[in-house]
Amino acid sequence: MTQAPAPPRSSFGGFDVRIDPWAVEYGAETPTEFQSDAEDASIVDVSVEVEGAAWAPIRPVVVASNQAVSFVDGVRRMEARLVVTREGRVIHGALGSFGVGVVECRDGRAVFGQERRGRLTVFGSGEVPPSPLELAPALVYAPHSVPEEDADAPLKGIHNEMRAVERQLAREHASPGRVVVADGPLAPGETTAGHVVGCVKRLFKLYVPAEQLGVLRALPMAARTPLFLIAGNDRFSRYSWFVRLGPRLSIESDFTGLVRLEVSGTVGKEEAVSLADLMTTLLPRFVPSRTRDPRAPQNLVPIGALEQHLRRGLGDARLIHRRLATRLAQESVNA
Amino acid sequence: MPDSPSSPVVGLVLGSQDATPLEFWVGVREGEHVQLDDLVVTRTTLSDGQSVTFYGIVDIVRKRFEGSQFDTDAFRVADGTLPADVSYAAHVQVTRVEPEVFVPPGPGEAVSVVRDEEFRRALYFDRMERTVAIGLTRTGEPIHANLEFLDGTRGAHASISGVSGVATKTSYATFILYSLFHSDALGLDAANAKALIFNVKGEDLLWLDKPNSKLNDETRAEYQRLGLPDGPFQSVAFFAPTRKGSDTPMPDTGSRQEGVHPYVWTVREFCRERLLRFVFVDGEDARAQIPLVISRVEQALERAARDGDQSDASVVIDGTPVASFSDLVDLLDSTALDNMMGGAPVAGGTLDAFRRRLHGAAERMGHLVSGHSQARNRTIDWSAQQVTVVDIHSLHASAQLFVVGVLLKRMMDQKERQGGSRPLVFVVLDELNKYAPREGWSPLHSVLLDIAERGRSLGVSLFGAQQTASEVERRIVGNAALKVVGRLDAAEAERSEYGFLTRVGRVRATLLRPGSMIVAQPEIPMAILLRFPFPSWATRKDEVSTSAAGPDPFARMNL
Repeated sequence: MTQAPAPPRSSFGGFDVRIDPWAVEYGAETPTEFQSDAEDASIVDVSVEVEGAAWAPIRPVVVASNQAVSFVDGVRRMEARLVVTREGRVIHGALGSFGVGVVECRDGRAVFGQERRGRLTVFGSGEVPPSPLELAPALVYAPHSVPEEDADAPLKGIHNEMRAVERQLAREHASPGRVVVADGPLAPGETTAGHVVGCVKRLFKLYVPAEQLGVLRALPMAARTPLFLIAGNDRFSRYSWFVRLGPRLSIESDFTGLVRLEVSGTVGKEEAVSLADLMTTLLPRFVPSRTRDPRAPQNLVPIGALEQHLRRGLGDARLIHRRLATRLAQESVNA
Repeated sequence: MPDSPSSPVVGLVLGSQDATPLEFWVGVREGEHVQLDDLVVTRTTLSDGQSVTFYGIVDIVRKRFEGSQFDTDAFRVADGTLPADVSYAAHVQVTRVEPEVFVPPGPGEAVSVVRDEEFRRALYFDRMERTVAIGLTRTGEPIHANLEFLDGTRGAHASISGVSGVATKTSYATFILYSLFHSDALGLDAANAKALIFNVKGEDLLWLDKPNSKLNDETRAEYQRLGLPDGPFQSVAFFAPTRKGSDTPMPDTGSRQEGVHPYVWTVREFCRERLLRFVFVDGEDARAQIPLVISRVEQALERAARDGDQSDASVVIDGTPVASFSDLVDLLDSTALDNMMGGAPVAGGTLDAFRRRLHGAAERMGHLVSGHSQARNRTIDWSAQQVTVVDIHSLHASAQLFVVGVLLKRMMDQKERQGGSRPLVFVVLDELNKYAPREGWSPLHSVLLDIAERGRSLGVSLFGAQQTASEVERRIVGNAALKVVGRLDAAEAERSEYGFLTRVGRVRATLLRPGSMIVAQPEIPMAILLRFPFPSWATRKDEVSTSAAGPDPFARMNL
């Protein structure tokens, strides 16, 4: 075993950093969702494509399927929860890694594209770790700070960093010839990216009023609902629609197998309709079987493969945890 | 970093599989390729700075989707919906560790396919003082064998196994002889070294002295790479059994008469040299008292042969002239046989059994013994030329045993009288399972065993070929330094006689094409797959003439 180089007197300056053994989330690559959907108080207009009263499933005509499409997604992992003490004050912290990548599907081939990785040491309560934490030459955790004081705040900080990188990658990849399917709802920063489609896999909020829910329930396979416009107050307006990707078993809720997609309102209605039709014909191709992915059908095949690929890139969690433990043990001896 | 391999890096030692000093896996870099039988090298550096080099041979290559869990992933990938990385890996069986520090190579170390000098090191050719070319790799690098394991210095004999017709066993044995005699491998021994080839099937070997007109430039280049001329054998004589029913000896061959010497033994030679024992070839002959009878009759015949004019082909036994093998049979049918027993307690039934068998044998090989004056000096003289081809393919199996037995016995007697291990004699004998079966008896058993066990010190090297090594006397196969297989039957390939083949090697042996062999030699821990060039000597009549023909050297193998 190669030993990490002898550490400086302390990696954390005046902070006393310990691992919180109870809070380690084993295999926590897909933990608590930080969806902002639930809190979103927005105005919904269901009559943008057809009159609300005339809502019915839409089955677009299958268009040429050689449309290039990229899928952007990220995974994150908390290596350890940290309990940081400074001058008697207890601060929550976290050590985490995330990976963001893209799968490019075109010309009948799906390939892994660009990949970005981030590793962070996050302190809450506005405190900033004094220096990057280097556990090994290729294992450096950059300092990061979040203002909140609650215990989940550092994890949320890692999540938000990952989302920011996801958005950036999606923006870079979108072009008139290539649609990017990004994981989760769009964020306000994405107004400029016309060809980024947000794909919401877990429906915390349906947006659609009760009169139209019947259409959602009875939506056939590979069909979509008419578009509706979500005009947020603190957010921005975007066109949205539901697509059924998979069948529903009798034991499952009516909304199983549905995904909600959205594009920025800035693309205009025409473009939004054609993107909606495109996605409705395109996405069912990427639906995994339930044996392949327990999150079928919403977790599309390229996304599932990408997550697996990115997780591999994060390195072995146990090894990293042990390196951290070794480092902290050395520091407590030196202290 | 240790000194980097001189050849381009094709991959890295994998860390997802155990890397050990004797075998390891290599991940092949994208855009590169590694195939079976490639020789590779990697180096690792010890903590004291010493560099250890591992040479090895690729025996498994595989590709797979990395991290793929479902069989249907292949369809998803082909659809363009599932992205997947292809992992291309090669398993390496280590042939040499230099210096001999048996640490494992490090995962992530660079691996190269070796060429030229490193190739020679990987197969220990740099340690062999005297070598002989025995073939080419599929990529055209020459492969050598250590001559010291063929000429008796440290070992002798080759055992060649394979299915008839596709394994090209005799062709390969002939090629090795060609390589021995037409390179400077033998050095000073070359002048007196001899080869005795028994032609068991067809008449392929009757054209060794003629250049092959169907040789193409590609094959010529192969001979050149091996350091061999591309021509016929330089010094050959052909002997074929005399034709039945002809007093004037004539070779009993179909495709070639010219230059083929007929062979026949005179009655006097037969008696004087005690050849009667080689007439009795059935397993049952070894039982009961028949050997005693044979021995007594031989004594009587030898005595008779010492009398009279030694230049006379016939002999007179007890006042009866014996001028042919049937005369001899007639004589022994009479009370003469009882007299020869000289009071030994032999049952009448035994004598009758002896007579019965003698009658049977007379039909099959009687024509090889003649009392005619023309038959004189028609025995096989293998001392006058380098290579002597003895055709026995037209003979009945028991007559074949007679010829092979007589020749080998005489050769061993002569070598024993001479003493010492020179001059060298190479004997090529196909269908060894018939002459020295593992189970059952053969009159040649003891002669062949003698060659296998003592031949080394007498300078006799046996190139034995057989369909199935498992049916040949264990000690004969076991004594062979060079173990060769051509195409093997699948069931045969599993037998312990082929323990020198790896699991993969056994499977490959069942797929070998004509012209490809797997060769194991004592100094290389791994059997090497090689091919040998199309013969530069003719193997049938139409190759002698200058007719143009297709380039496929093995087309006649009908594969």
